[in-house]
Amino acid sequence: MSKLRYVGRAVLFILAAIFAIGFLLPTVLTVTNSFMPQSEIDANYGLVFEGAKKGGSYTADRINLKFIPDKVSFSQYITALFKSPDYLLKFWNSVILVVPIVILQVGFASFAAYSFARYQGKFKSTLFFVYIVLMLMPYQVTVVPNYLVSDWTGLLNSRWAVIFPGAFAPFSVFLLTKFMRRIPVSLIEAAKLDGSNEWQVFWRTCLPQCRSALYSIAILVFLDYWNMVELPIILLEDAAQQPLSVYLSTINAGEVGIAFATAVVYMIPPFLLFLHGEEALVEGITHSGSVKG
Amino acid sequence: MASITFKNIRKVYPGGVVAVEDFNLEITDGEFVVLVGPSGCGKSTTLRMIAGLEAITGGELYLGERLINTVAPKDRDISMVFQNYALYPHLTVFDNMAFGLKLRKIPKKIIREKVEEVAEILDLRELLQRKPKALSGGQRQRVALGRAIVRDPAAFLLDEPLSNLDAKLRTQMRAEITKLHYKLGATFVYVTHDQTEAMTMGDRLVVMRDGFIQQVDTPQRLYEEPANLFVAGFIGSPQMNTFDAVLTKSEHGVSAVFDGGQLPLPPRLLADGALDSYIGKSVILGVRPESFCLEDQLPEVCGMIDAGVELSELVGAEVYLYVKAGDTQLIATLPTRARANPGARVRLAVDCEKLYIFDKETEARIS
Repeated sequence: MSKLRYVGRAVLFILAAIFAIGFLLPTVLTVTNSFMPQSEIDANYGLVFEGAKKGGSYTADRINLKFIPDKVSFSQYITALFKSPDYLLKFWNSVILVVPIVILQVGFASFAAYSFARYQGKFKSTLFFVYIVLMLMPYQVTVVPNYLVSDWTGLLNSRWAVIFPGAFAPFSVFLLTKFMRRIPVSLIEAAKLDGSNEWQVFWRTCLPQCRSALYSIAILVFLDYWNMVELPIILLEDAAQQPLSVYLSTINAGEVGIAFATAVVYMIPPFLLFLHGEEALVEGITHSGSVKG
Repeated sequence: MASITFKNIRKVYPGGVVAVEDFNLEITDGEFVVLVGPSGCGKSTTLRMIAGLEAITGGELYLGERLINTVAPKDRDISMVFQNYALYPHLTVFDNMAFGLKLRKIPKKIIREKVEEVAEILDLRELLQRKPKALSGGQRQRVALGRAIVRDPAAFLLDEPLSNLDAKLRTQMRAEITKLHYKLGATFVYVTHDQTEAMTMGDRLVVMRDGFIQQVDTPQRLYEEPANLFVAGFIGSPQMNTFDAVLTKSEHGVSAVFDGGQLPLPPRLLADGALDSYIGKSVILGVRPESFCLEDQLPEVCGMIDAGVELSELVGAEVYLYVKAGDTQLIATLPTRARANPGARVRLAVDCEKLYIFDKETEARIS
């Protein structure tokens, strides 16, 4: 029995390792290749993009996947960060779009979740059900209404057309409501007896209990919107306002080496955010009932 | 400090569930009153109405001279200790205790002085910088008390504050709270379902059942003069033995005859004539386990019961003898030498001066 268990664990470990390598490989390739000089990139992937330029596909008969550069070079980074301002501008566009979305979404979600968790109302459960349905809908369903509303409000082709739908997204409300419902009623009652008014109960008692949830929501929302492509393409016609996530695909077609470097730079903020908030992310999601009830 | 007055207080929850009905009580300034009763009797609801955490459906509630029916909890000047302590987990012990004072914009220097003073009383000085999760149950309990005390409120409300503690700590904290009451001289309203806790702590006990007050009195009088069968059964441990009996009159006087024996009623019980109309009728007879004694310690007026032992439980200085006389199950608290094996026959004496007789229909005490 113990031998069987040992074999089972070994098989599981091997499978997990294969999956882990599978997931990590593209990231490792991007990072290592970003340190290759342009000539080496051309030698390895030139044929791939050659075909695409001639109107064909990105596939080629011979792809030379290479993980370790012959010569380590920072030239791609120097070009991406200093010589060509386009990349930095697009990066800044991403920041301008995503940071307000994160702040506003977490803010609005806190108010909404507090109301859902604390107050009884005739239509509360119906409204919450609508939130869940909205959350389950793929964004492709809501993109047309978003476009129409943006057009009707005159926000189309401005950053607010992307920021507003993001600020009111239902995902955070759902997650935070689940978390706030876990706060014992007695804690809120104790705060009231201690002299808190409703705002103070929310701000000084409830929100500090949700710190991990707020942080995990902020990370998840950041990751989600940092990688958005379709929404800015549809709602922001002006390419100058579009984020780096959209621009990366256009770089790929041309200067592949710079694309690798830019992709690495683009990965850094979410990576740092994740590292900083990993514990809160796990705790927040677990306690919100998304992982276990 | 203040008195608390209930005038015809009523609480009905949505859906028509009546939690408290016709509640009239005056708690005097500095009194320690315990609301006691089984789960669902309305004791916690009553406490929460004082705190302002439950709306009052009807009646008037006064704190001192002030009608507080619609006053917000924060404006009632009342502190409450919750069953689960309700400490703010993100704050240190110091900040937990200082929370209410900070909200009232008390100067920092005074807050520090007050918190340290209370921490001294409750032996919390070493724990002031710890978070609640780093405290034991007893320590959390003391912090919850400290948070209540530091505000110097008009009244303290305690909602089963000891029920999450182990037996030893519960006894210790029980004494601590009683001492604290003496020290502060404040009005305490304490809710518990544990009659031992109620008996040992309260100046007066309010026994509740199904939203109604059954009896309000001192622990001693509740034990000796229960108003009805419910109070008689609820107060005292082990619980009072109650069983059906018929009052019969003979040339020797009046006796209570039951399945398994008969007990003579002493003249004291018959003196006021309350039992006259019950002669020949069925009543409920009550005998406290402590009213049994051994043959060598016979009281002045006593009856004898022959019974078979079913079980004996040794509880230190005494033994609980579970016996059966006829079809009547009885528990007797006796000296340890009365310990007997299951199946043994024993002859128990009953101090008939301490018999209780209840009306079978109304369950009110007749004598």
